[in-house]
Amino acid sequence: MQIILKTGFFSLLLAVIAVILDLQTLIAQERPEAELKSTLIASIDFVPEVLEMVRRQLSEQTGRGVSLIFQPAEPDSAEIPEQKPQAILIEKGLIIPEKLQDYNKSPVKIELVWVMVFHSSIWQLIGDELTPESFGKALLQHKEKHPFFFPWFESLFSKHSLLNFCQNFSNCSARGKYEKKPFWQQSGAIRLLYRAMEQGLLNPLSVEADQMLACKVFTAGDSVCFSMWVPIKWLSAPEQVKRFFGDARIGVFKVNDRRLLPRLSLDLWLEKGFDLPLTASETIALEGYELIEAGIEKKRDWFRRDFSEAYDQLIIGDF
Amino acid sequence: MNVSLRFKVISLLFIMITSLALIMNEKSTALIYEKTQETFQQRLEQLAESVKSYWESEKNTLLSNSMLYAESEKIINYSTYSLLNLLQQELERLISKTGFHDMRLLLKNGQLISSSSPIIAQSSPFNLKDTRLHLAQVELQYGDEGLFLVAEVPVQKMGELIGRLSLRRKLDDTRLKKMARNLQADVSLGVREQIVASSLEDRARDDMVKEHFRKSESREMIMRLVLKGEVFSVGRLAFEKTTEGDPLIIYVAVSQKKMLSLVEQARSQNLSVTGWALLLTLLLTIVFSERVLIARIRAIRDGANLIAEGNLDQKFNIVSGDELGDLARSFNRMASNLKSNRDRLQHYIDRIEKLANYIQNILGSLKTCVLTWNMSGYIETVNTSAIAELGEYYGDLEGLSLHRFLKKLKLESRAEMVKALREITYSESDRQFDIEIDLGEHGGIKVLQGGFSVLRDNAGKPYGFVLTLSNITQRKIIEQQLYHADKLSSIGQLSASVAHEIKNPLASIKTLGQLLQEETGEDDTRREYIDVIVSEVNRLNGVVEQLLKYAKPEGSSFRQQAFSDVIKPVLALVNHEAERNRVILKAEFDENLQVYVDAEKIKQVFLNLIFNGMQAMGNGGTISIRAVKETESPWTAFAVEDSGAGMPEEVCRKVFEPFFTTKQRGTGLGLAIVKKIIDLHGGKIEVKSEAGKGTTFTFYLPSKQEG
Repeated sequence: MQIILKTGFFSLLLAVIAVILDLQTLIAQERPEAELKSTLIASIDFVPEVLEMVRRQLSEQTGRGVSLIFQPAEPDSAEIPEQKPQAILIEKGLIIPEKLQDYNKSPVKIELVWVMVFHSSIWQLIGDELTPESFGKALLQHKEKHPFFFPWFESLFSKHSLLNFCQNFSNCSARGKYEKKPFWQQSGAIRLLYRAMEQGLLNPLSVEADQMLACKVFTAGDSVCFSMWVPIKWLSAPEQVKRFFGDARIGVFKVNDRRLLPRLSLDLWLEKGFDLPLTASETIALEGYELIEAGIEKKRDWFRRDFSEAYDQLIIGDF
Repeated sequence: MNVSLRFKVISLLFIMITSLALIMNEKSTALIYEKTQETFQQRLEQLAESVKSYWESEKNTLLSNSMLYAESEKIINYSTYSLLNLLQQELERLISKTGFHDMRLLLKNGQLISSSSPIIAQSSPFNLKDTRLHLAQVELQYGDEGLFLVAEVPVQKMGELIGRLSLRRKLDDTRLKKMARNLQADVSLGVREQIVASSLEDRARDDMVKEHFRKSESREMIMRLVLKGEVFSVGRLAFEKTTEGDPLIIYVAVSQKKMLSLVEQARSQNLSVTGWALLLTLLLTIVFSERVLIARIRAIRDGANLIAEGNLDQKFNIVSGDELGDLARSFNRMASNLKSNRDRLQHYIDRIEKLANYIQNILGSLKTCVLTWNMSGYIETVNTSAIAELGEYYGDLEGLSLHRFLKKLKLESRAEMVKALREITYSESDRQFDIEIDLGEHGGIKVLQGGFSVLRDNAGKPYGFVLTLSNITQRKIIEQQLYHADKLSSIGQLSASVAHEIKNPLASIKTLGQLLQEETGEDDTRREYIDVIVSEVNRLNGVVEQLLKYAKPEGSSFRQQAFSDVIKPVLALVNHEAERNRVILKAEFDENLQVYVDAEKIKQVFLNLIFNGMQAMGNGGTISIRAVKETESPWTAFAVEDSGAGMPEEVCRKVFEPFFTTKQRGTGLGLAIVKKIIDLHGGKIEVKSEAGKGTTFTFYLPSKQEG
């Protein structure tokens, strides 16, 4: 009897040990590789949604989990963080190469373009082609239906936003007599925006809003359109827009028969000695669009000199 | 059952102290309760003040918060630039971090944004001329959603009104429970006869509704209600009105459970202390009573017993100066006084006894009856004569009422007595009166002469009457006899003179008639007339002889002799006549019976009575003659009874009067002579007759003449 009991006890013990060893193996197999700790340094302000898009894209291209810390920076004062991350995603030209001696530039590049996001309710009113006029008329129609509602909201407090408008609409501010024509007939981006505000189409709070607020107003339903940076892939993948903004579309204005598309490139720099099996970024061909990318010098000038003048004009209307 | 003094003293003290202790205990408990109630009242008043402060603080908090929110840059911008969804989200975000119910923003264009609803409502735009839109206010709103404290403030941008923000605090159970925690008292809010919010549990709230609202008369500022089986002190406070004008009543309820428990505890402790104190007191009482009180009282008791037994020389030796010492000295004085008084009393008693005996002897020796009556009309005392005279008739005289006394008297006597009593009562004139008492068949009539006099106390106030009665029956009889004798004497003298006058002519007539008889032959027709004349003259002579015998009785010759020697010659004499008249004579007497009589006269009595009986029995009959010496009386009774037709009562009354007769040829002197002979012997005679049964003459003679 005792022999039977001892045999049974040892059999049970061995079974328990085997189960524990199998579980450890399974756990080891399921454990992901170490997360890539990275920092994003850029002069634009990222809304969480865009930041998430960037992180995902980076994760796809590095094949690893990515933790991304955003560090806003001015063109003159961008620095590498003291606690050096494994990878740095840097706005193109923002930091001089001398400061990046400990890093190697990778083939991974993430490109963002400046587009306008429309709610389907306004998009339907615009028609086939997005021009300032069709856009303006659509806004007016919307305004008629909702007189207390400002359909358009922009992050005009953001220097990049105003710069992009100026780029999109050829020039920033026009000279000469200001006439109260419809905004789409105004010459110069600042007059256009100012007039839109006068017409009650563009929310006046836009002059105090950043990207974050503009995005928030749109997602809250308090505007039906706004402009923002999106991954360039989204131009050919409208489902991505819907994923983040619901029943929305993105569009690029055709101004003077041109579709100018401001672009922002983020290069990935890896710490020296840190090797990753990276997938090089594809170059996306965009027909009908003219990608424009302001260089760091232009941005610096805009930031230092032109922005204040343009912004004051937008506020005061002193044309 | 005898209970010792010690037990009584201890019991009494114990009961007194126990009662006192219990009363004090109850009083102290009641005082504690009263003070506690006062404390509760003060507590409620403080709570009311706290509630007021809390209320004001709440209003201020609400107002300051709403003002803070109204100055929020986001709210202002969102409102200004119609970012209504963001505004709603912002309101929701702000509210979610606070305990407020909701926040609303009414824009000047009439759009209403609420933190609690994503739907934007539309109402009338502001009338911007209304200056009240720029004012802040706090008000109470009561509706289907409940009771709200609402702060409403203007929202302005750069001095321009863009809307009004209202911040609402729902005054619900949760809020009141929080308030209750702070106040450490339950709080309830009532509007329109309803409890709209309360920190009380449901059952207690139901009880409050039941106890308070259904008893409208008991709505005092401070009241006592039983909620969920627990006693609460409830304060009622009204200091706000809702926007509809309904007063908001705040009820602050403080449970008395703890207080009642403490009071009960205090009562128990008091009782416990009282119990121990009582036990100690009992022990001390026992010791004290034994040592200080009982032993000394026992000594006084023993001494008092000796005094009670008559030992007035007993002296107490208690020299203490307390009450017992005083008592002992008082006993000593009392004993001394008692002794002195006893001697004096004995002296007076001796005198009174002598006096009483003297009076008793006087009253007892009096032949006059003396009866005293109290003012209530009851006999109090009677003397021996009264008992002798009236006892047989009335029985026990003492205590007899005047009414019953009078009731037994004859009507005339009763009237006389009442009249006398009335006179003595009203005019105090003593009036003599006679009363007659019918003693029955053999007793005859007793005549008493009496009078009333008034009994007075030392102050002259009447307290009763004295009735004195003297037996004058004999006197009355004598008076009647005298009257009768006088009458008979007159008749006798008249008869004697008439007889003398008649006797001589009758002798001449008789002599001449006899001469004529001698001269007239037998065959002469006139002879018959002459015989009649002589015969009638003889008869007249007989009558005259009887008259003379009645008027001038012969001298008496009394002597003791056998009755048989008297009666037998009589029976022999009448025997022939009896047989002729078919009358049977029966004589019943003791041969040895001795009588002291004048034999010839008594023979005449019997002859007259027997002949009278024979004449009463025309068709024969029986005449019984009896003689009996009465054993306990000085009389010897003689009776002659016939079985004749009897006599009516009026005849009986006159039968002894001279010349009264019912017979055609009677002289009416036979029974008168009998009466006279009996009277001569000092006896008495009476007659009883019953129609159809006969007549009995009974006469009584003294058995032996005294002296």
